[in-house]
Amino acid sequence: MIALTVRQSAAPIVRRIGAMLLTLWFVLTLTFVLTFAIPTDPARAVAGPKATQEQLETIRLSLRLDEPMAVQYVRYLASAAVLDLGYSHSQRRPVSDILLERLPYTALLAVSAIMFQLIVGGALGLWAAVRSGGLFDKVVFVGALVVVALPQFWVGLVLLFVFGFKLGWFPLGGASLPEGLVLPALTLGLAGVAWTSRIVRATASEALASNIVLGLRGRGIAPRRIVLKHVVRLAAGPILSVLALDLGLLLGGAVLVEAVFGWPGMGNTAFQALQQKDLPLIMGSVIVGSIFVLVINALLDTARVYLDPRTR
Amino acid sequence: MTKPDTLGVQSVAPILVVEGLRTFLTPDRGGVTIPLVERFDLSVDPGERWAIVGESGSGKSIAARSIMCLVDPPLSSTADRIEIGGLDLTDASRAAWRNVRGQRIAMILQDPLTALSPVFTVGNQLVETIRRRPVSVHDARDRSLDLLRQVGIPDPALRLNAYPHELSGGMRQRIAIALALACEPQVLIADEPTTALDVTVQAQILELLVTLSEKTGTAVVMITHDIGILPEFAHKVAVMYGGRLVETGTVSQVLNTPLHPYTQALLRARPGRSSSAERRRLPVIGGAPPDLFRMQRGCPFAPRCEAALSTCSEIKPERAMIDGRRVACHLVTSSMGTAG
Amino acid sequence: MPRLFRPDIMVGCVIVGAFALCAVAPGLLAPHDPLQSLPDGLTAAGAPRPPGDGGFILGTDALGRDLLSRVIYGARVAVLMAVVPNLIALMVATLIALTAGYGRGWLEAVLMRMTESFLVLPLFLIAMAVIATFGSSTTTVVLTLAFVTWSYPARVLHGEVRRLATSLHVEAARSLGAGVMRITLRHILPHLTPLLVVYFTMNAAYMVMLEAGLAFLGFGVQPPTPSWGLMLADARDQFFRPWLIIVPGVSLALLCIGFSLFGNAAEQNSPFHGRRVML
Repeated sequence: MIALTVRQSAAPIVRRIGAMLLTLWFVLTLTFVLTFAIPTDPARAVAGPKATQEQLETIRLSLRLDEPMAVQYVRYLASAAVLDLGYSHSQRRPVSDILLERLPYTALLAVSAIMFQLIVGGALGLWAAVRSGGLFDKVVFVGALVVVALPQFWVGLVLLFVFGFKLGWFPLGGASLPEGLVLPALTLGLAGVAWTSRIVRATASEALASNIVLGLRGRGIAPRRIVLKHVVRLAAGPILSVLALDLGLLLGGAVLVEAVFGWPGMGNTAFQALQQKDLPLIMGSVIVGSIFVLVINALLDTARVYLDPRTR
Repeated sequence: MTKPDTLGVQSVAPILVVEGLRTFLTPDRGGVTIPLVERFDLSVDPGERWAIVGESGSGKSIAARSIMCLVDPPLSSTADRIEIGGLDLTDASRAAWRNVRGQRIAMILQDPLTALSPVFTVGNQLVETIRRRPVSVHDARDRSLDLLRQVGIPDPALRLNAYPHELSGGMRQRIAIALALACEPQVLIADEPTTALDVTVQAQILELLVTLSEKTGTAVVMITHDIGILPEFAHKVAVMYGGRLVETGTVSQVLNTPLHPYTQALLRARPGRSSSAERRRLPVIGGAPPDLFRMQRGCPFAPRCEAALSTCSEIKPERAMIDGRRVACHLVTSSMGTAG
Repeated sequence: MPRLFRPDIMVGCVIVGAFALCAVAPGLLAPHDPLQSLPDGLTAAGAPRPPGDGGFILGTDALGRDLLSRVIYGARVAVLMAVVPNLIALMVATLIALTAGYGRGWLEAVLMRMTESFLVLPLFLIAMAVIATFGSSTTTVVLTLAFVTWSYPARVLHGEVRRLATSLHVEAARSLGAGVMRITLRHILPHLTPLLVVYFTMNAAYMVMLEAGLAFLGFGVQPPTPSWGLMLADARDQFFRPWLIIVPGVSLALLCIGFSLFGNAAEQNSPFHGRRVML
């Protein structure tokens, strides 16, 4: 029995990893092409505005910029495969070291935001569905509409102002844990709470009116169990699907939120790299960010298939 | 199979008593409340099998749900009296009803495809229902295997770990029956359990219900639009039209000597039942089922009744007791000369 | 067709209409020149005036400029960003969706892989990178926004085109000899229109927020053009003068809310037609 299931699930996993690698290859190629589209001379960026022609030539040779594009491309892919993402001239460290250091901060922020939105958004959506048509439902509906339209960085500023400045409950930035995590995670997850509550409310309403719940009621199953066990499971599939799609946007928001709160994650790193025109670091951030999204995507997908067997 | 022909002496108290059940629709934007089911009475003895027959829109499914108090706004239902197994549920709270459902009275829905949850295994759903009573998980698993065997599912251990969408329609309906019987209810309400199934499977499910009913002594109230299954399945039958009961009685009484014009027309309209002289065209009932939102005064069947009297469109007929059965028809009561 | 005169949709229309008016004819509405440091714009101590002080309804900023006028003129950028990159992104997305969904084969595979790769990329970062390299003129910003957002609708539109391309009535048309162009124009595009309308309204708010975010970090339209994002950037540390943070932010939020409400015409799942289930 177990052997059967393992074999059955092996093929899809292999296909999944294959698709991920393919997408990753596309991403790498895209970033490679972008580096050539940039008019800035990478050698000049490394050397600074006062470099002489000879210095530029030396740097160009050391960066192997004279080789044909195809060779550079292969070299690029090869080094990416071993996670050698180049050398950052603005921080004088290998790019991979920098990103490895900063990735956990962004990951922590992202995961906290996701937890926040799933729990709070889910609870709001469930209750709105159970009391469908009532005041709570209407308030949540309008509230979600308003919240999702608020610019994230502005919300961050306001929260910082109210809870950091006026009330002094939280620090005004930096990376102290856990106090420093609260406001950024809240800011990042707030929009998520809004759309999560709407989707949960939709699927939960549908589930409550369905024959499944009618059957459960007909068997006298307690309401709490109906909602917390059955309705939640039924809503899980759609929520995880949309969450996976939203990941890219979430990371984009992370850049802004990290900037507002001074959170030392990858977003902040990339922002500083842009200001310094540190090309390897920028590209490295893009690549690592993409990998992060792909991995979380795969995790979410696995969770969804487990929770909702209809999608198999 | 024992099928009593007449009502006989009632020595045992009925297991389900419904008196004066009515369900109405209250439109959201105000306006007149619309009755969907009116004056519904039912008295079911232990182990007895009833069939409630009617066309679409006759209110039979709503009546079934109302008996278990499972109607949602904008519908609402009340009754003069509802008793299950001697327990008075007339003004019972929602909590009391939740307690009773599953344990004393259970329901099988029409479409097995949508009635079982697709995100949990069969075993999970069975155990959940069985464990409404304090039973260990282990014992619950054993009992669920037992139940699956009872409903005729081969290789039950394998099925416990399966998901409903991996099984055929017939098997899903069997599982639905198992779920309904899990807590040993005294009454089972089956809302058109065979309509969504293949013809061959239909017969199997019906047979299963009869067998189970005989074996466990569970009374069954089956909602159906198919008169053909009556002789094989039911002891008694109630015919509904336009939200009201028009005729009730034992199956042989009603099928052999139908009194109400609607029942007569229904029986005539069955293919292959007409005599050779009439075999040219199927004697269908002219007109369309009544629009419950625009009910006229008087008998709901009057517009389509061939033998309608003038009173029929004026006054709603009361149910009268004739020959040990009930009929609601002016024609019948006037010709019999009595109102019982 | 759902009732279009629901209260929430009407409110959305009013809000969007008001801002559109500001964008189209700011000179008529603004009391002052948004770029001018006014003589009485600052207090005696040289600080910005709070709202209501000195006849300035929304106060002034650190350079003594009238906030109300800056807000009104800032609507130009906002509405521009809500409309133009939106249209471009949708056009590109439709083109790609049509080619991929109707063309099938390897073309479809390549295009869809590309679309998915875009969805995996940190697009905000890429937008910043592109603007950092190519400059932050209005044109660049508009094109960048379109470049960064086309992949989202492309995905859904592709699914829809695919569904339509394999539908019976397209098959029928093809058997009658209709060419690709004719089928696309008469059979597929009309069915895409409702989706496109929904996406347009959904994306409008997002574009505004995206541009404001970019401007906040310095990657949007440059000063002296009044832009709400820039105003927020200037006000970043002004915790003692909260109106400088609140005013542009509320304008942004209001416009986005307006677009969201306005786009609610497609929203079927609202509490205004719910059915309560008595568990």
